[in-house]
This record gives sequence, C-alpha cells and structure tokens, in this order.
Amino acid sequence: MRRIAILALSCLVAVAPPALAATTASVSYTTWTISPDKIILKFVLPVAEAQRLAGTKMPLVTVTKLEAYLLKHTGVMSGGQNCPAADQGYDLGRVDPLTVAPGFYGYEIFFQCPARSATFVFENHVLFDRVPQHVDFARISSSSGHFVSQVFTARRQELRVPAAGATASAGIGQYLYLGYLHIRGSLDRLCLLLGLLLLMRRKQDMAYAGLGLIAGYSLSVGESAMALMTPRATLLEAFLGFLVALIAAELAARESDRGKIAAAGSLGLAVLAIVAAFTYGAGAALVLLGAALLTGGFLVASRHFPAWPTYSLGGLALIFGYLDGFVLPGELAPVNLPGRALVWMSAAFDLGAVLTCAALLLLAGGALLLLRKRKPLLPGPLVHDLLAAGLGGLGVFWLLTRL
Amino acid sequence: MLINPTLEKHSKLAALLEDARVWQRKRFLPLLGIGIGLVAAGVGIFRSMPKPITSVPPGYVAVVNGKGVLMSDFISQTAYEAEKPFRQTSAAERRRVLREMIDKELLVQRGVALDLPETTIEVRTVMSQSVTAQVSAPLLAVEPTVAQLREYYDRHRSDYTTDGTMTVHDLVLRVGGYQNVDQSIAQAESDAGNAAYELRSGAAIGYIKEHYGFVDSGRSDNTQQLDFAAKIHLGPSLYKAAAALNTGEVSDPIVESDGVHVLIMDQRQPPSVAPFDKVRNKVYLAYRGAEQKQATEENLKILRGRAQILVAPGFSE
Repeated sequence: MRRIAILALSCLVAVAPPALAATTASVSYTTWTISPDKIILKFVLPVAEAQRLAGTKMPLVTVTKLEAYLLKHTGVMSGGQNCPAADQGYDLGRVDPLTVAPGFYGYEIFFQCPARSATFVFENHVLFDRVPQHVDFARISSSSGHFVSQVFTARRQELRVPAAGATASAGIGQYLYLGYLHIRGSLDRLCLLLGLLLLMRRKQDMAYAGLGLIAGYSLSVGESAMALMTPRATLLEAFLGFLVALIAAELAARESDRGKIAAAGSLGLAVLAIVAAFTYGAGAALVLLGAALLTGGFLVASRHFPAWPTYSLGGLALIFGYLDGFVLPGELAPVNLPGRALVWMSAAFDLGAVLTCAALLLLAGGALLLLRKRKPLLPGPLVHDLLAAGLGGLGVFWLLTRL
Repeated sequence: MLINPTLEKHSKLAALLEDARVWQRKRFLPLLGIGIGLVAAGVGIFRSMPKPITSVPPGYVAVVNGKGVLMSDFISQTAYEAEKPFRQTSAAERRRVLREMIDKELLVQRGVALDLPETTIEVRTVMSQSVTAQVSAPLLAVEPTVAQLREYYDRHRSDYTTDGTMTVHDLVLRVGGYQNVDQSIAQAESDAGNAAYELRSGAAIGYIKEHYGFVDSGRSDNTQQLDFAAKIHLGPSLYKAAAALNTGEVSDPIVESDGVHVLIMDQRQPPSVAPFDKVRNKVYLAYRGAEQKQATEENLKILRGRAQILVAPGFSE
C-alpha cells in the first residue's frame, strides 16, 4: 500500500503544472560603443525572450513591439541629461533591425548626447521587470577601441562609464553573484542538492559530495578553456532531471526491492530511448540509453561495493558539477568571448555556484540534524518517502519535458 | 570413506575461484553499465565545438556574414556580364563582378533584416514569381513536340479564330413618334416586310427610305467594322441577325424598342479559325503558359495542404 502511494505521488508530481518546469536561463546581449559623436547600442535578444516580451510568435509584430519596448527600456545619460535616440534616416526610425545569427533578434540604437560630460550612465531595464533573474551580458567598447565585459542584473540596471579612458570590467563579485543567482533560481538544481543530502548517511559523505562538486566544476572550466565540446542545452537540462530521478530511485531502493526498481527503471528508460530515436533524434535517444544503463549499474552496484553509498555521492556530485559548469559558457557562446576571459568568468561563476551549493547543503544538513534531535511531528520514514516520491516525479517530469 | 587430500584441496580451490569469478562479474557488470551509460549520455549531450568560419569552403567564392556566395553563380554571372566564357574573363572583370555580388548579398541580408519579404509587395511579387519559375523549370526544360502543340491547338481552336467583319445598313421604321403617331407596330412590321421584299428584289435603299419612311438608325455608320465593334453598336439582337447574313442579303423585320429594323448586308467576312502554321508561335507560348500554370497550381495545392491558414473573421478567400 505504501509503495502504491509513493508511486501515485510520483506520477502526480510528474504531471504537475508547467510552472514547475525550470526553463533555461533568461539572457540577452548588448554592445555599447562609445564613439566621438554618439553611443551605439547593439541589442541582441534570443527569439524566446523576444516572443516573451512581444507576447506573440508573429515575427513582424515581434519586431515592431520590440523596437518600441527597447526605446522605452534602454537609455544613456550624460551630465544628468538624457541622450535621445537619433532618427537613423530613410524609413528606419530610431531603432534599426540588424542581421544577426539565426535564433536571435538584433537592433541598433544611436544615442546622441547634447552635452558630453566626463561620465556616461548606460541604462538597461529590458526584461528585469518581467524576469527578475534575467541577465544581460554587456560588452563596452571605449573610445580607444578596447572591449570590457560587464553585466546588467535586476539589481544593477545602470552602469557608470567614463567618457574617455579605460572602462572597468565586471569584477569577480558580479560573477560570484551570478553563480549564486543561478543555483538559487533553479528548482531542479535545488532538488538535486536536496536529493544528495537525503542520500548522505555519514559525516564524511558531505565532504565527498563537496569534493565531487569542486572536481566537476573544475573539469568543466578546464574543458571550456580548451573549447573542444559544447553541450546541447536542452539535453543537458534533461539529464539533470534524470539525475534527480536517479537519486529518488536510489532512496526508494534502500527501503524496498533494489533489483526490481533497477530493472523497471532501466527497462522504462530503454523503451523511451527507442521511442525517442524515432521522435526526438539520435541525441535524445543516446541520452536515454545512457540513462538506462546508468540506472541499472548504479542501483545494482551498491549491493557489491560496501563503500558505494559514499563514493556514489561523490560521483553524482561530480557529474552534476561538470554539467552545470557548462551553463555560463553556453550562455556566453553568442558573444564569442576570447578563451581567457571566458575561463576567468566561468571560474568565478562556478565558484559562486559551488559556494551556494555548499552553503545550502550545510544549512539544510544542519536543519535536518536539528529536526532529528527534536521529536518530529511527522514520522521520519514518511517524510523520507514523500520527499523521494516528489523528487522522482519532478525528475521524470524534467527528463521528459526537456528532451 | 577415504578422501584423497590433494583432490579435496583442488575442489576447494576450484570453488573459491568460481566464487571469485561470480563476485568479479557481479561487481564488474554494474560498473561497465555505469561507464557505458555515462559515455552514451555524454555523446548525446555534447557535440564538438562548431569552428568559426575563417576560410571560404569549397564550392563558394565568398562568405558574407556567414552566408555563402556560390562559385557556380559567380562563374555564370561573370560570363554573362562579360559576354564571354569565364576562362576568357580578365582578373579586373572578375573582381568587379565579385564586388557586385557581395554588395548584392549585403543588400539582400539587409532586406531580410528589415523584413522586406513580409512588408513590401514588390519583394513578395518577385519572390513568388521566382518560386513559380523554379517549380515550372523542370517542365519548361522539355521542348514540346509538334504533335503536342497541334493537339493543344485542336483543343483550343476557339482561341485562334480571326474576327469577322461586316458593312451593314441598319434602317428603322419609327413607331409612336409625333410624326407617325397613328402607326402601330403591326402596321410597321407589315410595311417593313414589304420593304425587305422590295430590297431583296433589287430596290434601292434611297427608294425604300423615301417610300416607306425608313431612316438610318444611327447604330451603324455603314462602314466596315470588326464583328466585336458591330456587336457593340448594333446591340445583341440586331447583331445576331446581322451575323447570320451573307453579302447582299436582307434581314427580316426585327422589332426593337425604337421601331422595326431591316438590315442590309453590303459586305460580310465571317470569322474563321487561323491555320496551325500561321499561329504556331502563339500556340507554343500558350502551351508553355498552360504548363507553367499547371505546375504553379500543383505546387500551391501541396503548399496549401501543408499550411495552417487562418483568415480573419468576416473575410474569406
């Protein structure tokens, strides 16, 4: 009866409303060029973000609405005065649509300042009112032609830039903060961390998980430096969903028939792989096939390795860290940053993510210990089963909806 | 029972070895599964980093913002502009054509960025014409045989008739006017019948006018007219009667709203079908046009079958 209830809860969560679907990050890209007579703003927005803003998928309507929206939500100030957007002639108006890479909308605006002071203030309020976790990766070209990287976030929608001389690039603190925002705003990452926490049995498990995370993120930074591979973002996110489901399966297997759970999980994923081969393509099929083999091996291995629970924690954390470490390089791919700058930014971003993960694990672990010492209102096994069922449902949901 | 100690030792060793093999297999297989699973998932998730285009790939003469300009297009365009084979064109001519083609590519990209295909009717017209030309190109590549053209000509003979001509007098006997207020239609019809009889017997038109009170109706100027013009001037019922007359014939009286008419055909050249040899070029062009139309219709049928078309309320196509 208890197993049926857990299974039912898993299914319920798996068909949960789309609000649970943690989507890919919301990003945009801007280039601000300071020239002697004007500031040129090039704004590049992914199609999904553009459609979110325009509220339609019709390209013409999207272009028209975006032009008006950008004019209203971007600006340049000089000496306390607003620099108006210049009419670019012909029938272009003040916002000129640009040819950019497929999958993006691009625009160009010329801001002409009536009086030029020593400092400009670049304003970017695009999307922050609708998506607070939105990040704009900016590049600022100074009058000397030197480029620096900056970021606009919900709490940093204005940048002060000197009219002459070098502009400071975004500091390590900005990227640490982005790493923190990334983990905090991702329900799937938080669930994965919760799952890792539930798998822990001994004190040293926490250390193994931490080491795994650091190793994983480090590997991805190294990989980004070599620029050999790039992930397919949707499949990467789907695999993270699978990891959540795998942790839930391991939690369930500890309390019931491990062999049956391993067989059912592997078989189900193998069937899905065959279906995906005909519907989603080879990439999705390979991911599901790999997930099927991993499920079987992972759940069965613990029977034969006494230290498996501890090592597997480190392994899961390593895989999570490695995959999550590709998030920032993936988001920055359209900007084509030089390798050294990308490594530096990724390292800071990943450090922010690792520190956030570690802090969350420690806090949640401490809270769990406190709860165990006091007399809990609900019986421990019930809470454990409910959490496992919830994680299982969410993991399957993310795996299937992101393929 | 005596047991050989050596044999007993061997069997224990064999059992131990078997246990070890089973234990190894049980440990090895899950790890193998994990390893292969991770590799398979990794191959699915990751792909090699796309290399930025830093050189022009084979088959292209230039790459503009990631879009290629085909070498074959360049060769044919250079030959066309220089009016000589590509091999005989000079380096300066090639440079000029390449510059023009790159300029054109830039302008096309700009047009796409400005969404001209969506917003400008001229661009849409040119694009639709290009698609029509493309889908009908395979049909147009095969020249029609004379038999096919003749068969088409036979099926569309009416398209190749030459217009007839006529020189016709239209006399009318007014009814109900102030000059002939007592004249009834029946009397006028009877007089017109007599007039027609006399005309057929060789009476002059002037005599008939004077004797019966006929006047020129004004619908015909008594000069040679093409059939379509005569139809416009005479009106449908008089034209129908006139078209049935041969040269020198006189019509029966025809009652119209303005009186009773009698038509005298001075000269008649009836319409005729032009012989195939005389209109062969016209048939060829019509045949090609029909082929193109058929290809376009079939293409549109396929496109409409695949398309999702929504029409605003209150409108229909």
